[in-house]
Amino acid sequence: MSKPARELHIWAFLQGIGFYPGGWRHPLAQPRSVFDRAYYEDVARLAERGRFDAIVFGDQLQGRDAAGRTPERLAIPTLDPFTLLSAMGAVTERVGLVATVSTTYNAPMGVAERFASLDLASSGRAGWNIVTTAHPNAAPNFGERDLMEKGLRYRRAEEFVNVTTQLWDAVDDPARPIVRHKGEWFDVEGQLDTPYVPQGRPVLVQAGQSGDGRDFAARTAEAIFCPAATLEAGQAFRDDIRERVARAGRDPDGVKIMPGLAFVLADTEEAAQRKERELLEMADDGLCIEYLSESIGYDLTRHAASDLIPIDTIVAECEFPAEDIRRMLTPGVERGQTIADYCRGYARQPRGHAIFVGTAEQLADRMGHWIDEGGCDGFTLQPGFMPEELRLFVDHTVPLLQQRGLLRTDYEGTTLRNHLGLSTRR
Amino acid sequence: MILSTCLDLAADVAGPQLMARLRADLSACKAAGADMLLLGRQDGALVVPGRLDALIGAPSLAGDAQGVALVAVLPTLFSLPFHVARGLSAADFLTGGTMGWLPSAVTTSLRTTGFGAEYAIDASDIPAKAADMVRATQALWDSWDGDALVIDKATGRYLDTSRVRRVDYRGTHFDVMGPLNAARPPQGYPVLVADEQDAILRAPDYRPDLLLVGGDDAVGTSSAIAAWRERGFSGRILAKVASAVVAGACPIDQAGAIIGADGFHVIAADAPSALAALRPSGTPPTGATLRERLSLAVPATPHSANRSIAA
Repeated sequence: MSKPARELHIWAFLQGIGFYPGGWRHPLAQPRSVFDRAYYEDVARLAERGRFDAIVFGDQLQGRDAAGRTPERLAIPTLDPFTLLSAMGAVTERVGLVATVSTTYNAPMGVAERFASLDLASSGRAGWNIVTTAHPNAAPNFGERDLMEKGLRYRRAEEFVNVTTQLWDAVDDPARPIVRHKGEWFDVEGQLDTPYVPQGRPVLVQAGQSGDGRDFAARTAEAIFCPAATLEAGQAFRDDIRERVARAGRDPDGVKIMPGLAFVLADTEEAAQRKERELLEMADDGLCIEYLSESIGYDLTRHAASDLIPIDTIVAECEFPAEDIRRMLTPGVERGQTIADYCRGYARQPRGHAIFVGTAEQLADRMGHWIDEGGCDGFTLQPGFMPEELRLFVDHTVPLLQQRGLLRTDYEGTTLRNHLGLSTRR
Repeated sequence: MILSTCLDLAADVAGPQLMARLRADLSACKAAGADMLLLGRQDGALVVPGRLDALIGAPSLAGDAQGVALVAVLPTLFSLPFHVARGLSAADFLTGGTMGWLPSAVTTSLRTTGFGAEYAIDASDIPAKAADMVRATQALWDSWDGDALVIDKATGRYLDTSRVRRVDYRGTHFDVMGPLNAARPPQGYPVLVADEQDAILRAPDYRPDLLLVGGDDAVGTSSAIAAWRERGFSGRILAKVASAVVAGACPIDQAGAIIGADGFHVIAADAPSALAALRPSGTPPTGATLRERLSLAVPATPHSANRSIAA
């Protein structure tokens, strides 16, 4: 088949139960199934039927508690994403598998081994979303008292990726050389046991928003997951990244920009809006208060929901940098909001990601428009709740995208690099 | 009678054929009557980590394996408890509670230097570090009680927060705060397997659920098993048996003469025929989980005792 003139890429971002915190309570949601292999196999086949480039999972390296109390009303996705992707790869043949792994709480050799194994097991479909871990509670799970400072984390990440790349490249080399590297962070002499890495290297993905993150992405990433609430924000981000990539001496077309897009679909716009309202209302005050508690690392359930925001106590005791939290809460304090009011607003707001609510046709229009206007190279789609919204997208939006020549009707190649149109060797 | 053998990427095929061959080898072992497959390889009589990361291999093979338990052989000296606890928790869920793990303290010099200066370790310290890694991992599994998940759409209650806790484990080599962002595995802990020749057993008070013992000859293996029992080991024991393939004869060297074993771990170039030859001499274990099949108790969290009885 001929290549679409304005091809777009789609990733399925599958976080446990979907985008809406209360979505697990929807009558069609399957919150108990998320502990069964059959569920993941069905979802993987669905993504492949929808001709997605890849399935993507985010990750955390800390419990979801605030000050030791774990939320009761949030559906915490508790199965390890790397394990899920391995199981999903076993029942599919083409769809890519992108796992989020930290460079701060791992060793290059271990990460190189894991991705080499995933790439081998899936016949060349592995992708690595490189993160440096920003949650302070991750540190004590790895024997550290404090999180490393951001600039240092990115310096380490860069050298880390350099070492893993050398290890993968050595597998491809018929001479099977031993990798010797001595740098600021790592002093290694090693060789992978993995006999074969089909893609040579996994696809390198990045999701950093800060200047540090963007520069790191410009030097290393082949695809970027980012928030873009508006077309203008998407355009600005994409232009900025492409410029940084060019400055780093790389081809801007070799980096795909994939902003998040949450969605709720129905036959009519009104029905979709009604469904979204239901999903929002399923996040009751109790859930919203726990949701913010987790986000700020302070247990708000200690206070009455009708209390005013106890900003000084929160700032003194929260697990995140105090100034960030103060900046975040001050508008609510100035408006005289109660804890419940503020939390409701927070938990029911888009978290920086665009949210689409409407029909399959409107969604296809919107996606095409963003591509035409240079807002992105594709979308990281976040179903409102699982698995129903993903199924609606695959059954109703995907055929429209295919008819319009925006999306492949079938996979042309076998690897994630093929799907994304990336070079096999950088 | 439990039958087990190792499963790893074949050495005699290359590239694109590797995974197909691995799945074919698994099917052959399954058809021959294996109850348990160790995702690792034999280094002589010793089980060591394989060429495919077992935390990837187990979920990748879970669908093919159904009915056969998988045991992830992991390089313990280079594993971090938080990652391992999550990976094995998920694998235990995805396999319906039939996961085991064999934390191996065996390493090669290239692996050690490959992990680098941060992981450098004195040989005398290896048993302690390996055993501490296992304890830290188990402590993280204990951060959730088995009945923590409520998942009630009507009331909006997803879990019972009194059943999830920080554990603040502080060991000789590892500190982990918890809680794990993963529910307690269906088996409480996946079944802990050890090879008696592994340095991890030199750690004081290291108590695996299942041991791989012996391997030289029937008499030596029988007395090794007896010695473990005398030392008070009450778990399951599999006798290692090497294959001596003789056309038309029983391919297993004196397996029937081994006394006191709960089954056999086959070390053979042609594992399926060795398994098939052994299978008629004992019935496969029954049970939904691997613990049930091995008649092993489900470990309780040490925190349950401190819990209020009121729901």
